[in-house]
Amino acid sequence: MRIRFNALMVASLTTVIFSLTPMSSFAQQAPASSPSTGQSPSAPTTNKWTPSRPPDGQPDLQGFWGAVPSGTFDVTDPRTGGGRLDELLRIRAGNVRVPKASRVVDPDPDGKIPYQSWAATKQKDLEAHIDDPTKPEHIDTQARCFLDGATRGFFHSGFEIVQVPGYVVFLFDGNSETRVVPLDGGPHVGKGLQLWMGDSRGHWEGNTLVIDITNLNAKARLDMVGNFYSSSAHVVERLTRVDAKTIRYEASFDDPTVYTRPWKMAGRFVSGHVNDPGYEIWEDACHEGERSADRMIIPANVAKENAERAKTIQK
Amino acid sequence: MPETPSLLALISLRFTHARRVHFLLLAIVFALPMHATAQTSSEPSLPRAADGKPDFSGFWQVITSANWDIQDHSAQKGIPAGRGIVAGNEIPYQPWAAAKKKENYENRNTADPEIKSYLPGVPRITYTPFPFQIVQTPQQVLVLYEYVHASRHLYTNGSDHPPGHIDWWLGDSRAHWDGDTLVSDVIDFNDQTWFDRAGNFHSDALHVVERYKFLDADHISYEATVEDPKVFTRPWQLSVVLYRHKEKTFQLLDYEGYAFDYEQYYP
Repeated sequence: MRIRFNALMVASLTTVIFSLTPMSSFAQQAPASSPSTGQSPSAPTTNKWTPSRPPDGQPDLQGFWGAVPSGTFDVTDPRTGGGRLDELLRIRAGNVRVPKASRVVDPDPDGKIPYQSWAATKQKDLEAHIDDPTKPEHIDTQARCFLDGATRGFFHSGFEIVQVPGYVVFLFDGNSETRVVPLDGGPHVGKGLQLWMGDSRGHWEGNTLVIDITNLNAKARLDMVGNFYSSSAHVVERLTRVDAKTIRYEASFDDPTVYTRPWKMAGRFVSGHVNDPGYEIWEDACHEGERSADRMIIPANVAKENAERAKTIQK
Repeated sequence: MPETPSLLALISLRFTHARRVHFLLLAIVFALPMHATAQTSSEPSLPRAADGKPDFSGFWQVITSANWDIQDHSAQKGIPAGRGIVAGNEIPYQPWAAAKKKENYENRNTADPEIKSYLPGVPRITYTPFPFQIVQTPQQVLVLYEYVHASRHLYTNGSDHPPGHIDWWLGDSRAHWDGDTLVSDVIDFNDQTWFDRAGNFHSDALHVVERYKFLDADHISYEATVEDPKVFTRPWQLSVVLYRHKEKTFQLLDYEGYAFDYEQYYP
């Protein structure tokens, strides 16, 4: 009977958990776009659109936003984890999956994170166990209701930006996460202090909000397939409002303990809930409802049998 | 004197939307002479937002042991003794509820939902021993708490509670300005949170009216009227003082209580 508890069942459990997280409806609301064929989100814009400025002079980023495409299954092949079970079934039926355009835009056109060899091995191991987790560390950090760390929150759910004098505040639908970015130009907190969302310091360069992040505890991962950074990571995010409905997003990762060179991801945020002016971010109590993450863990020998059976089926 | 809930709080509890207009007129009449007094005094003026409302922006925290027990209590190992924050010190439980509170107290070290790092409910979130940051716009007073990344939106945009009942850990808050006092009406709670480690509890019929008012530029009086006809015989009140963090480098950090046991697996 234990063999019956196979990869697909785990995948369906995983799917249930991930689909409980409020993957936003932005994908449906957003203007039709084809990320796999569209222009690189990092392409320089010739748009002369100028955002309005609230009394304290910050360019206005306020309102609801959502990434297109959304989803944190894989930064190098972006999609949500919610469709994982169907995807596995299609693959088993012999359909070849065409990957989507990677969020990684540098190195280009490779679209892969430039891991050192030990780090590539670690990521591959995590990815190999996404449907057959045999150890606690195989469970994705989002399934444990951990905070999203650097950049992941933007692709996890829709979010709201609130600006007040001296601060930019991000409020996320997913896990009710928040980020407060001070614009006072002060230094980062001391080395001994590590934070789930890191320590953010922001400043404006023209119409671009530049956020410098250090002091990450690096316990959150970038996605469900185990892409990661370490606590020595230095992340710089750049948010530029390029028109009334679009923010261009870039994040550079510099982490000499994990990567062979700095790399960069890019994305696009579009206005959300434009037809729902009364939209509000409501409580998403993730940990309070989490019941089953550790129950996804299966014995190693069962995982091995599953992997061998899967090979047979795919032939 | 503390046994009598403040007249204003009781009035606001009973006011319907239709009558609120009259109440506001009354408030204006009463506020006028007070305003004149404030202007003639030599005290520094209170922080005010661009829209003229009191500006609560900043970092705040209580200094009280109420998170362990909201009533007068002796010291225990690791817990300081404390004066209670409940007006009159007595909580008017119905008989069955008094028995339940006693049972909760016996099991407090495992049964308190806060032990599991669950969102601690309202008003407890205010007097957990962690700081919080208020971010204020004309539409909402946003309260961001260091404890388990909790956040609350106290909407001041005239919106009503959504159709309910909705089970939320921190309820649904709709606020308005009563003169210089921010009054927040909170309903839509679940029955899973306690008021303290001592087992004081409520049902999902909990209705809290919070009142935030400057005592001076660096202190806010926080008063909560608690109503729950399933558990208590009458409304009761508690109050604490919110102290402003003046440290130049102060900022919110994090306390993800539920994650500590798993950190070893995510080096």
